[in-house]
Amino acid sequence: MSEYSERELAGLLRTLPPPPAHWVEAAEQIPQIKRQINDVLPFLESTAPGRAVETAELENAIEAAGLVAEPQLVAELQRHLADA
Amino acid sequence: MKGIGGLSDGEIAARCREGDEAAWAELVNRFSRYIYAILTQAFRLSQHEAEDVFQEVFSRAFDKLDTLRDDGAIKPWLAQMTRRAAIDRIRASGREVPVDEIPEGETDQEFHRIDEAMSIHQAMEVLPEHCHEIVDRFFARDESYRTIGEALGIPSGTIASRISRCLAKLKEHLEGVSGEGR
Repeated sequence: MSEYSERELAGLLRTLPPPPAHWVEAAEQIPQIKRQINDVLPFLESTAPGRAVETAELENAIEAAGLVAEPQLVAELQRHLADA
Repeated sequence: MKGIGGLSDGEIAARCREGDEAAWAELVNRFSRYIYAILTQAFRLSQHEAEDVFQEVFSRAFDKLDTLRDDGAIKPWLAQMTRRAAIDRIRASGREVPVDEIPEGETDQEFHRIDEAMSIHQAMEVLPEHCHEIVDRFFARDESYRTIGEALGIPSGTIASRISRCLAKLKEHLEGVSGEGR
């Protein structure tokens, strides 16, 4: 590692501010959200690749699975279907 | 036995693959600043776009951990995934992707600076807890002496000198690491 002046160190330390706390909390929840997605998929009419799914349909499926249609779950489900 | 925070990046990646959710939380915490900096500084995404891509990167990383061949390479693997996701987002928005917004690994100056900052951030782990906290609050979180003093229960008039001593310790540590390599 190179030798740094204190000024250079200060500049580098400023380069990495933390992201907003709720972003980090949401990312920490990903394993639980993925499990919930597995519970919801059977309640979707079709998970054919490339099929556009309306948000309302996703929310209905989430509720049919006995879960709450939190925005993070809806977004993660949309991402899952887009990647399928 | 090492606490989870004392595990190497590779050990954390391996534990995540085994389904250890505490390891996943550690991975998110360890790399969240790095990914955030790539999105907002190297690619200059808006906060709104960066938030979406940030979640997308961690979601894909979770799904694709099985494809990571070398657990020790989790940092460049995440960086590559972040870079691709950012470029996809810029293209999907219909914006042109200027050449200088597509960093080419280590050769790109901004990308290199973020990597260097991450190394310094990780090196801070060796500092005493109070040093780590005060330096991070002042430089990375941009908190005032007054805010830091109130949060940590120390006189704000002593903060500048504490920061200076902590930076000197960090510098000394880095020079020691550098010296070992010679």
